[in-house]
Amino acid sequence: MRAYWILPNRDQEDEISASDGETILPLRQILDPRLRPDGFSHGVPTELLEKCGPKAFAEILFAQRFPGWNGDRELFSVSTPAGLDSSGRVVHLGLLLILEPHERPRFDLPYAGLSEEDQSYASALIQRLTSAGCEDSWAQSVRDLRDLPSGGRPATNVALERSVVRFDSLYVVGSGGFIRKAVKRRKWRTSVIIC
Amino acid sequence: MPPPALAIFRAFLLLASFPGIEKHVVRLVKGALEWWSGKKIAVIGPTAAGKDSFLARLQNREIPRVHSNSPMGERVKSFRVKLALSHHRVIDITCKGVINIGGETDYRDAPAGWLAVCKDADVVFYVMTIKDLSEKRFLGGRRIRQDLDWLLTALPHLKQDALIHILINKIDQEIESHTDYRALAEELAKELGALDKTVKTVLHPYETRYTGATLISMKNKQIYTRAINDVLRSVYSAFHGTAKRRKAG
Repeated sequence: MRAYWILPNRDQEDEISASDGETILPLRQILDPRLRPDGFSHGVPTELLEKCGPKAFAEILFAQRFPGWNGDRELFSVSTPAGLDSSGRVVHLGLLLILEPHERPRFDLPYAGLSEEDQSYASALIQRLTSAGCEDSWAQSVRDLRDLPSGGRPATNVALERSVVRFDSLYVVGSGGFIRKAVKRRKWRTSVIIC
Repeated sequence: MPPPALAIFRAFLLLASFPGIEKHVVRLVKGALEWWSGKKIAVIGPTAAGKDSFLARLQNREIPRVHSNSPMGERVKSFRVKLALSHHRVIDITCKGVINIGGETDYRDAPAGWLAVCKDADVVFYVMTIKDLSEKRFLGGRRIRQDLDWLLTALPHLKQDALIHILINKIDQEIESHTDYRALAEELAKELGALDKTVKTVLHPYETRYTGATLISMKNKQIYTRAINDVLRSVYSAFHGTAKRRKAG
């Protein structure tokens, strides 16, 4: 497993930066944009921020899983809001995991090489993901996504309505940032092409 | 400064001097009203250039309360653009299939990125800022120039008649920070001329798809209203001119 932080673009740079916990480098050196799967998100989708409202921003965790990426590997990512950029826009911190076949995500990436501000968000994220308690429903939804049997379709922890790509989703978001298990997982629409 | 840009700039100064003026007399020919009806648009540009704000303005919304650095392509619900014109006429455009996307080069170069956003569009709006213009970021190797190079490679994959229009946002900041408007106008004239020349050179042989650049402010509603009317007119005029040339040819 290779693990990286996707760093908040606080200074409105032209490129998204990443870190292995020590060194900072452009995300494109780790994950070529041309190989990023459709619907891959570099942070928390705006629709979730709007649904949850500013009071619940700190609670939000958005996770994605792309099985069968680049052959038989898997991409797993978790993002959380991480403060504001210089224009007052919400920016995001992400944890990106590149998994070899049959590997399971582990949430244990160091963060000493990040800025002080990013370190606090990284530390909080790791702590939430590795805590055993079930009272943090967002963290639980990420662990549930991690525990899904491998080999399925692309999936997210919570359902999205505005995504360009359709994902299987485990939870739905209500107002105020509360999430609950979806009655039935949303599935990709199957289309048939008749030639 | 090319005549339309100069006229807009003068209008901005007028608006800045008389903030009470809210009605603008803008005449759009009937053909423009019909042409714009049902057109699909795409909005791209560097990060923090004002893409979100432009989409909000088009939807007659204020700048979003929850404002985020867009981390993925998200569908924007179909919306109608209504603009009051002279003689009690209203332009009414339905925008469908618009996708809101981030401005980092990561989004530009991803297959599901800018190309996917632009591929069905009739008009692609490229949003940059006045700072990009004054810092000449459209010159070799710099961000705006890289995006123009990208547009050249993308154009063969877009709709055959897709048009490109550049919006230069945050002009309000320039107006607020200057007192010598004549000097500012002259400075902008040079910069706009240089941008225009670069765009046409880079986009060759598709330079006729470029319909010009418009100074705009998403923040200042009066400037926005004036500028967007000019945009609608400029894009249509450019289309009309190209169509006429094609017929003649």
